[in-house]
Amino acid sequence: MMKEKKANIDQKKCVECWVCYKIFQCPVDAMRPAELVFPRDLMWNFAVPTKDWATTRMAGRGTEEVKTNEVTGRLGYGEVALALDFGRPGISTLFEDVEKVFMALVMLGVMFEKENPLTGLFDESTGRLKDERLREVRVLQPIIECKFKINQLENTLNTLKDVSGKINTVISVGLASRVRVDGTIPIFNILDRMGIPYKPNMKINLGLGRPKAPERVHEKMRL
Amino acid sequence: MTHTLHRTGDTSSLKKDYVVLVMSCRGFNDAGATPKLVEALKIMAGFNPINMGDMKTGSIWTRDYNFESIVKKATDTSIFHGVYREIETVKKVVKALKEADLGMSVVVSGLYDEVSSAVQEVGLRPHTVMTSLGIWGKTELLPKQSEVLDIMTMCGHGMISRNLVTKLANDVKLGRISSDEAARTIAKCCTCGIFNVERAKVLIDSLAGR
Repeated sequence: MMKEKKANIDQKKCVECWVCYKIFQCPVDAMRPAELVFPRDLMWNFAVPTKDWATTRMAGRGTEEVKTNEVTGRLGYGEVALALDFGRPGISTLFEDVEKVFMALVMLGVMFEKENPLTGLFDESTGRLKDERLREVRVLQPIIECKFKINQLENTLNTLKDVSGKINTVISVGLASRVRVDGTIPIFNILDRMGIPYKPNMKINLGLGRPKAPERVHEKMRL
Repeated sequence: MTHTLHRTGDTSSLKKDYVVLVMSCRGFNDAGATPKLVEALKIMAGFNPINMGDMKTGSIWTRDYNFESIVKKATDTSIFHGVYREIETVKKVVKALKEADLGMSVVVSGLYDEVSSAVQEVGLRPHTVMTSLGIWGKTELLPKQSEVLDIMTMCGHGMISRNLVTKLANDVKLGRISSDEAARTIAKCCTCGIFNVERAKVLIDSLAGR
C-alpha cells in the first residue's frame, strides 16, 4: 500500500514468512522487515519453517508426528492422530479461528500433542487462548496435533466438519494411523462408511528407524 | 511437519511425484546422527533426484546454495529430502537405504498403492501412514485454477504465493520467460527441497495455455 509516496508492506496482511526478503532479495534493498516484537515474533515463528522454536527446540510448525513413529511409538494400534493445518494452503488464519476448533476438540477429550508449539498457547481445560490478545493475530499455518482412540474417530470428524463451517479460513486435514500387520489400515473403512473422501497420495513411514518402540502387544492382538 | 502431505493433483500427475524424507528422532537417535544422515543424503543423490534439500538450511534451488552446502551444513537434526519422478527409482532408493541400515527414519510421500507395492518388493512394509482428507472450511478462498493449487501445495510450508504462480504463468504466456525458468524461480521459495520442478513446468505450461 502507498504511504507518503512510498510503497509499504501492509502489516495487517503480512504474516512474516520472509520469502520476499530472503528468497527474492531486492537488488536496491528497498524491502526491509519490520522489527520482530510481539506479536510479530510469534507470527514469524509460525511462518518460517527453518528455525527452531525456543520452547520445543524443533523447527517447523508441528512435530515429528508419524515420521518417527516406529521409534517414538507415539501412535499405537487402536489410536488415530489428527494434524490440522490451519490456513493451508496459502490462506493464513487468525488465532480466533484456531481457538474455535481447539475448543470443540477439548469437549471431545482428545489428547493434544505437548511438543507442538501451538498447544502451549491454549488452556487445555477450556480450549481458550491463554493470551486473549492473540485472537486477532494472523499467522500463516499453525497446526493442531492431537490423538484419540479409533472409536472416537467418527464423532471427532463430525465435530470437525461442523466447526470448520464456522471459520473464516481453510484447514488441510491429515489423519494418521498404524498399518496393521496384515497390511490393512482401519481408518479407511470408517471414512468410507462416513462418506469422507481421502487422497490416494499419502505419507508413509517405512519403519526403518531404530531403536524400535516396544509394541503394545495387547492392542496388536486385539486387532 | 506435515509438509510433504496434501499435494493436490490428478493421479496421472501424482504418478510423477514422490518425496523421500530421512531424519533422526529427537531424543532417541539424534546424538551423532550427522554422518548417517549425510550417507542417506548421498544415497538419495545417487539416483538423480529432481530436487533435494534440508528443511533447516535450504535446497539445491536456494540462492547461493548447492548439494555441497547442504552436506556442509548437515547437523544431527537435519531433515533431508529427495524428489523423484518414477516409482521404480523410489524403489531403488528405498532398497539402498534399507541396505545401508542407518537406523534413521525413512518416509515416502506419494501414491499409497504404488509406494506400498514398491517397498514390499524390497522387503519392507508401511509402518504408519498419514492420509489427507483434503481441504475443509472456507474453500471458496482457494485459487480457482487447479494448476495453481497443485503448484502451491508442492511446498507444504506455504512459501509459494498464488500471485507469484499466476504472475510467472502469465510471463510464460507472453513469451517473457520459459516454463523452466518460472518453475526454477518458484522452487527457490521452498526451503526444504520438496518442490517438484518438472511437474511444475507441466502445470505452468497448462496455465499458460501451451
